[in-house]
Amino acid sequence: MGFDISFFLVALREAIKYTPVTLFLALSALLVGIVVGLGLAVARVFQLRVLATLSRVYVVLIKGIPLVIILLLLYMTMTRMFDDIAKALHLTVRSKDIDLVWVAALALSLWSIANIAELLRGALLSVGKGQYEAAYSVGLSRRQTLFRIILPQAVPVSLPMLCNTLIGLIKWSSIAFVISCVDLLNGALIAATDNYRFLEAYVAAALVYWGLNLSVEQMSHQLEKRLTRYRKEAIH
Amino acid sequence: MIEIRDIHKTFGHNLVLKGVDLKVDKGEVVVIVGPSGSGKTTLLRCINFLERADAGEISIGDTHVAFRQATARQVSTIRKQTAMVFQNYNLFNNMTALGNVMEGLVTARKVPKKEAEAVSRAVLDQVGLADKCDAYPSQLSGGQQQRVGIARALALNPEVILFDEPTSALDPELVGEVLSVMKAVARKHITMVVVTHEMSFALEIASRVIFMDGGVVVEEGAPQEIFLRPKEERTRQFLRRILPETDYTI
Repeated sequence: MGFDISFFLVALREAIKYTPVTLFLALSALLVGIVVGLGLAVARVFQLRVLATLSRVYVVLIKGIPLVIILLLLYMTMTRMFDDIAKALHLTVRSKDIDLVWVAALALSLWSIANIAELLRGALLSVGKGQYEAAYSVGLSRRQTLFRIILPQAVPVSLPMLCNTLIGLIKWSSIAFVISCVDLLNGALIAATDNYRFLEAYVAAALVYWGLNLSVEQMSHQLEKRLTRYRKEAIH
Repeated sequence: MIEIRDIHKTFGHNLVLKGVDLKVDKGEVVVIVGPSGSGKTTLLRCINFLERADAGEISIGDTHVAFRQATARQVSTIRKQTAMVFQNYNLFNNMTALGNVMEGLVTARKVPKKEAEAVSRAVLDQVGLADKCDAYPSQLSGGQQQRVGIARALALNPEVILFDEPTSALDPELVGEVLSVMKAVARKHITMVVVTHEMSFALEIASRVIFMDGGVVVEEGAPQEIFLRPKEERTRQFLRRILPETDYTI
């Protein structure tokens, strides 16, 4: 069997149609990851007792488990718990009625929080101790130091890695098909279930992923250029 | 006026300050000298709580604080009455020279932006960098960076400016420009506590020289007294090592 161009185009159209789902999964996980991950990273760098320990435990826990297992565990426990609670409350809604995209988004978020917390911690640590001391010496509080001095220097450092994380999330979001959530990959595959032309479907999906990630890469490059104006002059 | 009483500081098992008293009058320039590891930098860093001393008290202006028990608010009060010039300049890398000088005024002291900018430009002019307001630290030489560092301290108009070996990281040919700015500051009767190895600066500018060794003040007095007629043997030893020999015998 050869490569069916016309079906490839059908699969491509389906893949593009469900691209917003993939983007939603990746971007929501990135956003949650940055917000919560930044909190965890700051807790550790500023050694806030309870939160710092919590952060360390969380990162170790999540980093050691494959994302597929996080997703499946979440899927099984969430659907079961949801049904139990719904039954107890005499609600007619059941787990099969919820959009599985939320389960996938949550699993990706849990994973990205741990990863982003670690990379932001690294970026925060890349700003020297002298910057803190100078800030304190002119009377800034810890919070002012963080937001005025440390983060503006740490964010540009973390940008290439955050971009990498987003690319990773876009690709990893494809495991949503394990819980039959219809995303970019699953959209293309569903189109192929009638004629078993999965090769065309996979190639179509791969092409769309590749295009997405290429544009992310380009955008981050532009953003980085803008955020590091103060360093650029030193290099050139 | 600043007064420090019986300050102690230990790093692990290492006793760095073993009960130092220091009194600095308004407008005085006090230069602290001594061999490395004698505790002079630690003393300076304890004054504005970059290090937390284990015991002792400090009074600056109307604020009296015990080092160990100081609350966050007291620390902040002390810091707002002091400013520091660092050995490695420590300019905020993400801000221009002007931004560096304005930061303490605008963010910490809530001075209106316009007013802060006027003050900052004037101070940068004083240190001879009026034309470098918009330059980032990475575009400035070491000497220029340190002059911005001094401007940043001056703009805050603090009770005292602490200088922590301000010329030690500089190339020899850049030391002069920083020293001359420091001399100009001293002539304005701004209270300064300076840790330095520049003995000529100490001799010329200091109102008082303090010689520290092993975490205590060994000797203090007018610069001529300390440099030319030291009473203590330890001071003499130190000076012999650090001052250029006057006669050579081959």
